[in-house]
Amino acid sequence: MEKNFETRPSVKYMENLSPGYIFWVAILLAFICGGIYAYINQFVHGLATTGLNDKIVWGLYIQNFAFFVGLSAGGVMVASLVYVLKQEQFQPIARIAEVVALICILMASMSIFVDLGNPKNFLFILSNFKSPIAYDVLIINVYTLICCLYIYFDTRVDFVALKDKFPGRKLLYTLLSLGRSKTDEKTLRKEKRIFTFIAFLALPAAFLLHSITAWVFGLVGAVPGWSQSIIAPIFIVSAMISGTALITVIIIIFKAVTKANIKNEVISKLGLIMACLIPIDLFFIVSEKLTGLYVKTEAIHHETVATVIGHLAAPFWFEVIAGLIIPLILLVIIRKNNLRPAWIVGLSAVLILAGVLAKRWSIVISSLYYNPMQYPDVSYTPTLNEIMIIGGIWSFGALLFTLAMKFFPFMKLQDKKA
Amino acid sequence: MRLVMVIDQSKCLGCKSCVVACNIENSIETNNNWTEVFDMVSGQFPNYHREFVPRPCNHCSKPPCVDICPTKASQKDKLTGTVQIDQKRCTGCRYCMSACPYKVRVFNWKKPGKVLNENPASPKRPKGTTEKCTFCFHKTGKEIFDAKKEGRKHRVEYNAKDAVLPACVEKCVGKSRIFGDLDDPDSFVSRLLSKNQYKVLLKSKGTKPNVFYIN
Amino acid sequence: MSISRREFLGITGAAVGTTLLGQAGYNLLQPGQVYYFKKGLEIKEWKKGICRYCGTGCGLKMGIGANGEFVAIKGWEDYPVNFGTLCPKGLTLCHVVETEERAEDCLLRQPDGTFKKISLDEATNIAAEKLNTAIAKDKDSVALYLGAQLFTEEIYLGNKLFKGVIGTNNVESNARLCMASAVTGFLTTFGIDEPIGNYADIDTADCIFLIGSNAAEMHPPLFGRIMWNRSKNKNVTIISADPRYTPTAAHADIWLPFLPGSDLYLMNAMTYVILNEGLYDQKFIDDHVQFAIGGAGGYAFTDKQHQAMRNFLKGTRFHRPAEYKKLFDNKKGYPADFEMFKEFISAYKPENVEKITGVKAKTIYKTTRIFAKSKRTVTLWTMGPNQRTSGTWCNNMMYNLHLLTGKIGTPGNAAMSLTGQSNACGGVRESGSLAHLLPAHRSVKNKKHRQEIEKVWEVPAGSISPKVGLHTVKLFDSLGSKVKVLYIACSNPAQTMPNLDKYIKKMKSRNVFIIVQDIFGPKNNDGFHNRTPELADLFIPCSFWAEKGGVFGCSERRSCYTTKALKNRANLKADWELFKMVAEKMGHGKYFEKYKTTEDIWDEYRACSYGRDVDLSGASYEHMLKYGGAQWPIPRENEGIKDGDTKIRCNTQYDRHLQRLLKKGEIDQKLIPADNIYFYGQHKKGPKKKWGKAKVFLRPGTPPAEEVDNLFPLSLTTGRVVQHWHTGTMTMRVPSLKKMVPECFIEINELDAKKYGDIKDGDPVLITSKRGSLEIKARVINTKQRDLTNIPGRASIVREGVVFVPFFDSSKLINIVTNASVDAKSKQPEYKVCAVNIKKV
Repeated sequence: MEKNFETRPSVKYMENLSPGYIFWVAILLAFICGGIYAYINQFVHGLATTGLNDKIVWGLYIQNFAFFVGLSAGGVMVASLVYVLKQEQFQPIARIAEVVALICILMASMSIFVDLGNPKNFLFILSNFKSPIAYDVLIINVYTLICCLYIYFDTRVDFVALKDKFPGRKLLYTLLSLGRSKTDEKTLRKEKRIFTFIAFLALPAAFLLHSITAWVFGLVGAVPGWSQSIIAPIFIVSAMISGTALITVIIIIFKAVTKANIKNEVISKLGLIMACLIPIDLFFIVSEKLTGLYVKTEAIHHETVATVIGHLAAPFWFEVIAGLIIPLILLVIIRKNNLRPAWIVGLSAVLILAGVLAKRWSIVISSLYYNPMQYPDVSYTPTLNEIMIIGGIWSFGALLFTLAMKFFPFMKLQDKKA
Repeated sequence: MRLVMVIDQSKCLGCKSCVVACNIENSIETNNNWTEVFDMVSGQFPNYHREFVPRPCNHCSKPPCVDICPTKASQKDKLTGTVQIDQKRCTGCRYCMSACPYKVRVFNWKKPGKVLNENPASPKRPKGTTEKCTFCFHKTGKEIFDAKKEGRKHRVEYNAKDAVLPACVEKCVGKSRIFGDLDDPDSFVSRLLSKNQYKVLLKSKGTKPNVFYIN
Repeated sequence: MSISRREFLGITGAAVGTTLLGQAGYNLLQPGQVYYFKKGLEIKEWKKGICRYCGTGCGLKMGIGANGEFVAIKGWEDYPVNFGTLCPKGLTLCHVVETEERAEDCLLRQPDGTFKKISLDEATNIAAEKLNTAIAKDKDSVALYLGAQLFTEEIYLGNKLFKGVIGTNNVESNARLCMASAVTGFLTTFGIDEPIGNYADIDTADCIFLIGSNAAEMHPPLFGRIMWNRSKNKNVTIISADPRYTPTAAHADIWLPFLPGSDLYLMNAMTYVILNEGLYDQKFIDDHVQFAIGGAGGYAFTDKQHQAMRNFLKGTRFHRPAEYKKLFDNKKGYPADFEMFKEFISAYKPENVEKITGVKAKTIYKTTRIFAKSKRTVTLWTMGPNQRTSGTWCNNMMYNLHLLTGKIGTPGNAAMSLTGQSNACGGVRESGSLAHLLPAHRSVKNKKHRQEIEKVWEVPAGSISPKVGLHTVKLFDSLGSKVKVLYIACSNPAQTMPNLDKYIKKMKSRNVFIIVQDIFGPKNNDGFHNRTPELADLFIPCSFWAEKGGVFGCSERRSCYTTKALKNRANLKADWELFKMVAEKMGHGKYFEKYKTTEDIWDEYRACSYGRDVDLSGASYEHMLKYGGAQWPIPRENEGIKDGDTKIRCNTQYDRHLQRLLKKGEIDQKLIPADNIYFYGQHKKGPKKKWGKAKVFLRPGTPPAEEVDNLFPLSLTTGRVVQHWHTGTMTMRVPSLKKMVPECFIEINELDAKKYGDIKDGDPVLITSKRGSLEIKARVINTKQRDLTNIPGRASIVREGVVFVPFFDSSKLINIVTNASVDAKSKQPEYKVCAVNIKKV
């Protein structure tokens, strides 16, 4: 233990509050307040405060819901690299991924909640198990629980250790460790077993989470842009890409802020993962759109033409070019010392995130423009109120992570094997 | 019982009396009509083709909106065979609106405003819930339920003197909308459909609509 | 996104047999169509009335609550016009009755242009004083301009005040703008006014020819009857001649998309086919028709009509100026014969007029054959042929077609001009509120008629001036110069006059004092303009429709009483009460003392119609309510007998008046041909062999007053939409109707849209004519060969070279652009054709 002390991550960053940190938290709080104000506004005046209408019924909220669910599922998939695929080199980022997954699923739940027009009837939502949404709500809850357990069994020992380190925060860490402070070997071994079980459970849960979310769309026959058999694989791949991208961005920022000991190789490897996933995503996109363009079955054909070469093509091409092709080129071509430079990986990750966001727009919102009944054309533009609520949710997620940095041991304090 | 509407397109003038009738019967504000009249044109001068397609809710036999509703607010009423929404259960997720191929459903985006001379019998429409054409369930359904409660036999017959009909059917200028019970082989709609070629909207969606168009 | 027809409406069921709907027991009388405005209130009583909008004259019933509330409305189930149906305007009448925008205060314009609230007493005092001052100088310096949507009683009383008591014939009605040509057309051909047939003919006709009529939108319950007829009898052919592809044209079997202003050419071409293919009825022509040329009765022609006539007479002796002059100075009209008529018509071979009319010769042949070969044919027209500088001629031509084929005067054969307004036929034509008329089809020029009416009105002999008053366009031209006080009741000329800018300026003039009686005042909170009240110097609010009660007379000579069913709003007075008050203040109270209720006025009026062709003496309030109106002639002898209605005029089997004339021996029974038809309007004119024969006029094709040219290459035609009534003051205040069509638009053909600057649907477009310009939103409907396109809102496809603008929108006054040229005879302006150009803004 003594020997490894130097390599052990410093917890110094958890101690002091820099002015920059306070400023950042203040900004986030301001955004959250804006979001709360906007939600109250929406609650009072109804969803008329959004840009939605009777034909385009889902907008920014559901787009972000699908996006957050993807990020969450992707986060768990990255975390599972360590334990399920035994890629120990990703150990330093595993916990970040876990926490990000938890935060993202919370954000997803919030986005779906703000979308409800009549939230007081929310509890009825689990009435009809013919409805994909009921399963979705169920899986979100199960998944959130799994994430919590996952984090708990992974970090309980460190919480106990931190209780000693920061006597002032005794209550917090007692709460976080649920009052269990035993660190004897028997308990640890038992917990390790439970943890491994949950880690194996988390991966299918993440897959299921995102597949069911995909089927919420995919099982709606009336919207040809949604009801495609390939929709679940597409959702899974973009979840993996976007999840990895988000973790990458956070790791790079985290490393810059805390000077944590995360090797460049890890970041480079994350870049490699993204670079491997992009072609798969491209493959799915091509196979989906090619069918739509070539097969001139009324509905799908119209829909595909509209989203690929028609008036709704902008988000699609943004996703393909800025979100996939450019990052792929950057990740494959640019090397320095046989490694992908962190800024290149970071830039690619940001592009990928933007691309996936655009793709969610393309799938969720553009598909709803399909209008076989020839109603007068309508379009959807988010209102400020809507953007404020979504901004509030994003800020809430960022704030959770920012606060976690002050009390959550992202880097392992002690080796469990010891 | 299977309440259906037969629409004789050859008699629809496109005057939209039905829309106005519906608005007043159900105290609907003017921005979300429950029924529409499509005015469809095609062709080139001078061989244009124009047809009016009145569109109430199709009250499908296989309604995708009912399957998909997570709260069971959308239900297929067993007695009348119509699709109804329980406003007390609807949580406003608008999933059903996207699932309806005909996009007949409308949403109370805000608290329904005060309409001139509100009809107290019309369904209450809380903010943030979905709504749609009910075949004037508060009129037609009440008759049927009352009859069942009292144990008497009730026929929904378009031509009957005391027929209780949806507002749009009552007010159709061309008598283009015809309403009745398709399970009753003697009803006017049954006879009409057995003798005429009929069409339905978006047949390919497989929803088995209960609104039939004849020419 | 587009969708094919097959995908949209997929065929599911296969027909077992082609049984007709009619045989399946279609029930026209659908009971229980109650339309509640205030549910929960019990309906104590159903009171009958007539819809106050269009000339169809639908019967309705008002559900009145215990405290007199207007609870519900429904169609009058067995009313023989609409059989219980109502169009969206009629359904929502309650909203107009109850709108908060109704005016309740009398307003007087101050020198600074603002309005001051005054009491009704003051207002009537001022009105009386202004009238008296003007009369003291010149009786003809005052004028009354009435709406044809007032009740007959009110029109009658206003007429009495001005023509009888004041002694000026400056009494005009806005019906001049909508059916004056129908009157002159009928008069010239038959010598009497108002249609021979009735709506019931529609139910049995095999061919229904609609020209210049969009009945599906403008008279929906009537078009519903056409549809029912066709559903019962698949052989019924509907022909629609209209430059627009309207809902009527969509339901028609044949659409004749003729160019605006080419109607005379089209009908002459149809006549050519009838004559050339021997489709005429020689027996009928021998018995009932005399051919005529020129200006029978001293009718004036416009320059273009003269030109057309001269062209036709080229090569004959009449071409010489002296002979030509003689021809048209001849008051009786120069008789022509069948041979001359045939020669005349030979110039109108369909192939020759193809270019002018824009209709393929093949279609004209086909249409005419159907028209002439059908057993029973009904022709219906509305404003299309009437609002033309050749309106009278167009009407003559329509009758020509029917007279030549012998399709008139028997059940199922009729030619009818459908009236625009609810009381244009009853109140204006019959009770004589035009500048040349006196009640019950009497003329101011006829001394005997004047004396009769003076006696009825109990005014001193010689009170009624023999001078014909100013017609509408002239009246507004004379504002400020000749006319100093204009009394407007229930009309909106500041929106409906053609070449509007000019007349608005005149109405604003300080030299004229304008008194306006209306239900909507100059000030309102909904941002809507009430154009005429805004220009008023004195505004007096009045009560509305069933708040006052009275009689409307509809297009088929049917009069019916609207019960005074509703509570008076804020003690507003009815128009007739206001006329009476003003008369009292003017010092003429004694002439009006006897009118206590509308029934007093009605009884006086129907008594004075006794013995006339428009004999309403049998039509008491009670009778009309009991039997669903009364179709005149309905003489007293038949009081209380439903069958007293006259379904068909000029047929001894049906026409009560003709029967009476025969009984009295005024017409010799021997004169009546075997088919019982006798056009008694022409009875006393001409030598014996011409007695009782309708005239078939030679009416050469004449272009509109304003033809398209390089500068103004498009024809503008104006009209209504189903949701809105005329100037929209009422219907624009009904939320559901306003939502459907919130603003006016200009319909442009897709080819024209491309040609004039790539105009897209919804683009603002500047429409310009020689008189003015206006910016309007474009409606361009792009159709595809096989894909269906939905037209949201309300619009139709216009043919190339034509644009259409409805005139209901008070913020977009299309009449700034329209032409004020009038028919030389009927003085009806040409709203339907003027040359414009369009430009994308």
